[in-house]
Amino acid sequence: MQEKLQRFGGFLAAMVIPNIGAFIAWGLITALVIPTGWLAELGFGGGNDGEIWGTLTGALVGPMIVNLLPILVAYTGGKLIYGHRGGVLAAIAVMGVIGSSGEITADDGTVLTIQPPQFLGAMVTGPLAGWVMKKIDEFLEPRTPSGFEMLFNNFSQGIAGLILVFVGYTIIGPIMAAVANAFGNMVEGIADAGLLPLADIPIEVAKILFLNNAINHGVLTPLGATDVSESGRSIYYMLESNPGPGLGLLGAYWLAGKGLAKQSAPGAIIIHFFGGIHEVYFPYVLMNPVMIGAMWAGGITADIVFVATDAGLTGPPSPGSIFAYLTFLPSEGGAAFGVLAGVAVGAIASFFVGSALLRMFPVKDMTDTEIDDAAMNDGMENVPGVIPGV
Amino acid sequence: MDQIVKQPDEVKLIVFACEAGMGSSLMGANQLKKMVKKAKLDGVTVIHSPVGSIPAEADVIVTHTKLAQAARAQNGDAAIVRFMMFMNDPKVKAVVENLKTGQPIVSEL
Repeated sequence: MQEKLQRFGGFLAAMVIPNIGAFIAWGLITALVIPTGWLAELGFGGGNDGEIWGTLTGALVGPMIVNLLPILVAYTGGKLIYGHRGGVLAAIAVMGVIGSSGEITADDGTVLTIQPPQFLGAMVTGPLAGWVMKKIDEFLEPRTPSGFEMLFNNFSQGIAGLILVFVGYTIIGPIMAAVANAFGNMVEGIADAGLLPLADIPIEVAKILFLNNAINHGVLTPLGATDVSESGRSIYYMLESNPGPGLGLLGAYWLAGKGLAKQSAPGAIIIHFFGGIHEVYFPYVLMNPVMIGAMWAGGITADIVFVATDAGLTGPPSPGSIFAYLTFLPSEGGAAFGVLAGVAVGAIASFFVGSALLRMFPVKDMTDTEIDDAAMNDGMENVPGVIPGV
Repeated sequence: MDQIVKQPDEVKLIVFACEAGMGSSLMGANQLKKMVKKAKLDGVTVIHSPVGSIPAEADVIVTHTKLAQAARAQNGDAAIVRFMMFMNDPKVKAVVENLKTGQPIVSEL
């Protein structure tokens, strides 16, 4: 079950992760040039009412999230299935999906965004187009007369592109837009009901089972990007990537842990909190699963702070380092404070709960280097309270 | 299934695998590269990779215990070394130590 989830989620994430640089570039541009962005807040170009910011938003911020990012995701999805040829057909096909989305216009008639950015559509179209390209090539290759390879290759791709664009425009696009809207409304409903912090409960468990990238980049990063295109910042970017709770957990091991876990905690803190590689703290939970309680305490309280202060980041903090958080702080003071407060509160809560849990349920023999095979292959509930091979 | 054993002279490519192939595997591969270089194992290349796309040429796969099954599903021929901690895990050190002293690497899965 975990492996299947990992494969599926990993595949979704694998379409997004190689393109995170583009998401970050878009996040930086958005943070700088939208009418409530940093440059306008600092008084450049006539301040928040400056015409230039609306122009730049329309010229850069909109087209990048509507076109560039979904095309990259689709291309990568196609490429994963069938190399560059699959990727190219995916990029063609996703244009049909993108083109099928409607526009959202403000009261004064300016186009705000094309709703919704077709990330979901891209994630479906990309692998599908890669698969179609593969099947077409498999069919044509034995039937291609010698000397006609290039002609067949180029025109089979071009014609398949034509057909898939229409399929995307008429079928995939509208269906995926409806699904994305329904999903978005559901998440919004949860958020409006104030229940978003509860999302932390499955997220923390999924994280330490190495589903962290699947959740963050497979689901939350596209959701966050959509959110930013509407409101300038997003809380979804912070649900998985908050480095606070992990910092508190490692701090608890440093203070209340024993032996090698205690000794290795400071080094892990640097890699986790500053380098943003959360994987280094997963073993500290796996070796003593009750410590998931500390992660929940930190994650839920942090999310409560984020919700209460209407906090959000302007771009995807990937990796989840405090430096990435500082880079994507929103320009509005209260929300920026909320981001930092949430990280801090998350760290403090998981530190205190973690320290208490470590005292109540200390990690057993630290010198045991034998790995229990059964425990290693089963779920985390069977991992014994030892550090195998620290 | 027979246990996979790799003799030191068979080991040309060590793949450090993590889930996404961007974060922890890059860090782990760099640590391993330093150790390999220090041990003067000239014929050994260390790369990092997502667990879902480990190259078929891999001789040894180093990965977290939670990802070992996925690594095995991806590559049936390589010896798999499972570690628990991302920093200074003796299992990772033992790989280099074995190669240096001419001992085989026995797959754990």
